[in-house]
Amino acid sequence: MTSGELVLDSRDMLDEDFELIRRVQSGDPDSFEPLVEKYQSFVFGIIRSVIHETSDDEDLAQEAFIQAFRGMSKFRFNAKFKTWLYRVTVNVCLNHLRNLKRTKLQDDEIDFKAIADKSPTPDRTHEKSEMANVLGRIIKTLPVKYGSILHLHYYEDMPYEEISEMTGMPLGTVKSHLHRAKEKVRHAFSDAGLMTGGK
Amino acid sequence: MAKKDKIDELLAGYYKEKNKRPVSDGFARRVMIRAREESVTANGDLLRDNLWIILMVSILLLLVAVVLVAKHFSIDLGMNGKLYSSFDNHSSTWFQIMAMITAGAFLYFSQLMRARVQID
Repeated sequence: MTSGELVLDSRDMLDEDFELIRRVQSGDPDSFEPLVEKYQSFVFGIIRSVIHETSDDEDLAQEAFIQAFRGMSKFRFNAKFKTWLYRVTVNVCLNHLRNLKRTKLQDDEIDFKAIADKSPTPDRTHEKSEMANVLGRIIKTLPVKYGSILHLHYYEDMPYEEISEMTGMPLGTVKSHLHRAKEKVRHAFSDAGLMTGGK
Repeated sequence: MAKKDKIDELLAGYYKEKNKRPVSDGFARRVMIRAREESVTANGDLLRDNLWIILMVSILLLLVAVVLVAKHFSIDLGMNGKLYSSFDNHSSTWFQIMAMITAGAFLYFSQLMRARVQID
C-alpha cells in the first residue's frame, strides 16, 4: 500500500465516523453502535492503562461511551472522533479515581527502593518475569497523566505528534513525560538489581 | 523518533500483555441498550418539560379556530354581535386573542431554546 493510499484510507475512516456521528445527531441512536464496535478496544486500553484494576474496566468503558453518546450534539467535526473519545474516556477515569479518593502520587512520593524490595531476589532464570512484576508495580505508582501517554506510545504505536494532538499536551511535554517515565523505570530496575547494563 | 532501547521493549511488552484480554462479548450491545434508554429519556424529558406550553398553545389555537368557525357560519355565540364587531374593527377580543397567542408562542419557543441549551 502506498502512502497516498494510506492517507486516503484514513480520510475514508474519518468520513465514515463523521457520517455516523451526523446520523446520531439527527436522531438515529443505532448509528452509534458501529462507533462503539470500532473504538471499544481503544477505550478499554486507555482505561486499563489509567485505572489498573481490571474489575472496573467494563463499567468505565460503558460510562465513557454513554457520556460520548450524551455529548454527541456537542461534536463539531473539528477534531477526530477518536481524539474526542480519548478525552471523554480520560475524564471518566479521572472522575472514577476522584470518587475513590485516590490521591495522585507525586513524583517524589514514589519509593522505588520499596518497590524493588518487594520483589524476590533476582535470579537470572526468572529475570524476565521478575522484570514484568517490577514493571507492573512501577507503572502503578506513576502519576495518572503518564499512564495514558505510555499506552498511546507503546501500545497504540502513536508518534509524539499524534499523542500531543490527542492529549492536547504540547509536544515537548509529551516527550518529557515519556522520558521521565522511562527514567523512573530504569531507576527502579537498577535499584532492584535487575538491569545493570542500562541501555 | 528516539532510538528504542531495552526499557522501550519492556514497556511495549508490558502494554501488549496488559491489553491481551479481549473486550467481553456483547459489550457494544450492552452499551447500545443504555444508549437507547438515554435517547428515549432525553426525548421524554423534552416533551414533559414543554408539556404545559404545548397545552397552552393548543388551547389558544383551538379558541381561535372556534371563533373563526363561528364567524364563518355566522354563529353569534350569545355575544349580541360583539364577536363580529371585534373582528371587523380589530379591537377587543380579537386583539386579546392575538396577544395571548403571540405571548404563548414566545414562551413556547423560549422554553424550547432553553431545553436545547440544557441538552447541549
